[in-house]
Amino acid sequence: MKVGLFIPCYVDQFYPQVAKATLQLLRKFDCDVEYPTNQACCGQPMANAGFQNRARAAHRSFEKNFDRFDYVVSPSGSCVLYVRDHHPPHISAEEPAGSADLSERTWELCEFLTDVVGVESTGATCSRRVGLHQSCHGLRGLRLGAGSERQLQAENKVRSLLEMVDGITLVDLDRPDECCGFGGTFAVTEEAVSVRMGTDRLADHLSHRAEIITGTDMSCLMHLEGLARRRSESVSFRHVAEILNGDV
Amino acid sequence: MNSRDQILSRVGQHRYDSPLPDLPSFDPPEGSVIDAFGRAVETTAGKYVNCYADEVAAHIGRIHSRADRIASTTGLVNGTVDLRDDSGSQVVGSIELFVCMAELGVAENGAVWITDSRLRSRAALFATQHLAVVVRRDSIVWNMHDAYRRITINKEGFGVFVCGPSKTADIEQSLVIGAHGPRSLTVFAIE
Amino acid sequence: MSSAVVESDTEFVALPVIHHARAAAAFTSDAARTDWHDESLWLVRKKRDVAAAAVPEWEELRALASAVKEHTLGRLDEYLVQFEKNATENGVHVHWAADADEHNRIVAQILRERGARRLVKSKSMLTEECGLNGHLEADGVEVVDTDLGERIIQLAGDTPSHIVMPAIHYKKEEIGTLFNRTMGTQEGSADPQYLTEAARADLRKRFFAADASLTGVNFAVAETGGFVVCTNEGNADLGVHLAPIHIASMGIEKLIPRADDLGIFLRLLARSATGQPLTVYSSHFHAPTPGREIHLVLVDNGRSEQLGREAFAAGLKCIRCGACMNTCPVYRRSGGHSYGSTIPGPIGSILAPNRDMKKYRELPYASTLCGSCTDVCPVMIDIHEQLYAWRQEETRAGVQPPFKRLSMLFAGMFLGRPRLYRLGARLMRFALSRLPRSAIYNRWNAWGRERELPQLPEESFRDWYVRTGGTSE
Repeated sequence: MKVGLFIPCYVDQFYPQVAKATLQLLRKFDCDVEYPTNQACCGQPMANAGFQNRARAAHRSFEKNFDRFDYVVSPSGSCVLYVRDHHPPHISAEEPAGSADLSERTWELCEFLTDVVGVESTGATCSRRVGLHQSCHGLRGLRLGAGSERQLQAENKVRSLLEMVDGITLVDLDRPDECCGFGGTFAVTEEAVSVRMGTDRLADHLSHRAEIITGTDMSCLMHLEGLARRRSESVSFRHVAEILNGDV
Repeated sequence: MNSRDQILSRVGQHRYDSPLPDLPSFDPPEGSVIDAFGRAVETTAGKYVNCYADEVAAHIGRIHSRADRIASTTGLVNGTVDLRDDSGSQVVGSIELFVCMAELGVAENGAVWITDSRLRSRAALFATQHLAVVVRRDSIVWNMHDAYRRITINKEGFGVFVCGPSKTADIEQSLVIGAHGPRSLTVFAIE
Repeated sequence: MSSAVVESDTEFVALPVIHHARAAAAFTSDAARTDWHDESLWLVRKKRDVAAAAVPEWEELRALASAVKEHTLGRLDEYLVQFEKNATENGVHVHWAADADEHNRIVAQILRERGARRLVKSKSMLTEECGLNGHLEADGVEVVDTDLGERIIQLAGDTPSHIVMPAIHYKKEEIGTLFNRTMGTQEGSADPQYLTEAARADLRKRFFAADASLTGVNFAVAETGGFVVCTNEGNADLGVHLAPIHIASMGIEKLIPRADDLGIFLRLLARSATGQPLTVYSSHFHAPTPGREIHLVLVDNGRSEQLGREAFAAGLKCIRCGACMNTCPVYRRSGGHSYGSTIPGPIGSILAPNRDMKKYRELPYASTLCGSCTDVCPVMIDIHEQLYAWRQEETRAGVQPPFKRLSMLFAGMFLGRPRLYRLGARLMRFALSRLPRSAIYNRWNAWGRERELPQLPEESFRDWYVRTGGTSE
């Protein structure tokens, strides 16, 4: 199966180690992965700000880069949710990838590992106390888990994968899935509330003695990390892919 | 065009079809529905007494030993206030304890359904300082769906589900029992 | 209490724009109070979770409630006519109000014709929306809000900051001071039990002296012509049953088809709102007692127009439980007044732009689109998706501020075209690696006020991939 690796623009620029971990992890599970080097952004930053009309070029570029793959996989729940929900419907004319709409062939890393690859063990070890930040778009958008609001018994795919890491301690949180306050442009247009939400999340993890805060979206972690570094907190921030890949 | 026709015509421009779902029915959990009702009444800060009909008066005498002005619309308890359909607010406002029958009880929440014919005065139910309601055990249903199947809401001009004594949490979310209505509720489940 | 920052905007017509972000910044500047507000509401959210978890069919109930409302809105004209016919036959006087002003005139006229000077009111967000109190007071009517929270608001000359707990933004000490000044309670006393008792005694006199009462409506049943009012305090019923005239104001979207549908909605409403299994009183009104009157005012005030907006009509399913406010991480940290609309929070942010898209253009942005509101909503309104849709709608309607339009034009160009993206990224890397810290963390850098920017790695992922073919470590 041919997998196209979609790396969000800010991950490409600021967190190459997350992209590398994703690439290596997928290869470990025998995926034929390729990173199309002419990719850019999914279009979400403009669209979430109200300018979906300014995201068209990004949509087209995404399509051009990824249409030839059986699957597109990305270490970002937020970007994948955007592609799923808001990219215009597009069925490829090409075989063999053309059976389903490109947006339906686009997967967040953890759901891909769970639902498509069927991962049962990771071989990774991590002897640290880890706090899982449940990014909203993955949790409530892609339904990677049930979420505390809905009265459902559903497996949390991210948590289940992390539990396959030897020696890991996942800390309990007072508010297991409250938003961190990143929210794209919200982080700057509603700076005061965004910072409050972030410091509250951070405090929850720290009060439960998390040494590492992980998640499915570097955007949330970038926000939390920015707050933590300014406050000289010693906690570190790693994407789920890095932990599953045994980088931690 | 008057406002009525204007509103109806504007609303009528946006009609669409969407099916009306069938009404649901959900089974009660394991265990006694009567016991569940009792527990629910207590959860809503009400008192629950499971007894025979002829014991109600004695229980009330004990629980509300200091109540002088008692209005009762049930033969199970003798009132001291003569409450009529046309009782003025002076009478209604002086009631310390009001006793009435409920047509039905709901186990999932501890609510009782009371209508005009059991009230004599609608205001009395809310103006009284304390309230005691008697419900027959065989008229206790599991949930609200069952309740609505059993009652006819427009059989009388007024009907109310009462679920606990009057309460408020409007000051810093602190629960205070006895906001404007009754300061206590006792529910009797009788044979 | 601070109200939303309102200032005139000169870009188009000079209409006031509600600046949520500014009001929110003012709110959060008191960190301890923000904590307290957040915790108070989070507690209610947790109570709701416990109540919902106790109902095994919770998610099924949500779907049913949503479907019933969806169905009803699709043939609202039919149900309105059926309701009117049945209510009239029951002896209820039915009035129709196209807008807020007509609603207020109808209520004023009912009172004037009967010489009613003293009105006791229970909580009704609709009358807040219509600005009824001011209208009646100008007519010489003494209006007394009787819900404890609303009474606090009225005595303080304030507006509600929450639709279920209107005075949630007040501390008990502030209420103690307010009651001391207005009702002569003991100075320094802030005990909720004592303060509630004082309000009870004060309001009881007013209940017994009232000439008329006014309530809102939670549900109206088309097949019986009756309506249901849900309260905890007993104030609505005390008012209604003591005064000879009962006026009930309802938005036209409150209808449901069948009596038995109430089972679905009443099971959801209180559990969602406060975590109670049912409100203390769920009063079903069909006919007045002999010699008394019930007037019911059906209010449109923009609702029929909203019904015609495909993407936003579902907002009319709202049963006003407030669960979306209690769960909203933004609302909890910015306070209800920061929204500057009668109904605050997530639901307010999708309702208000229906009324005035320009004035409320910031509200759809007062959200991270985290989606918690949608998942707690007992009638499954797609709240966060509508917030997203309103943002697009604002762009289409041309009410976005010019700076945003310009920046998004550039963002779209750079992020959508791979070559420009790489060029832009290179420039950024160059700038971030060479500029002194003071130039990067300048006063226009809202990110950097409280946060560090991410550390710049030596090379981007793409550069590494191109250099190594994606194979070397």
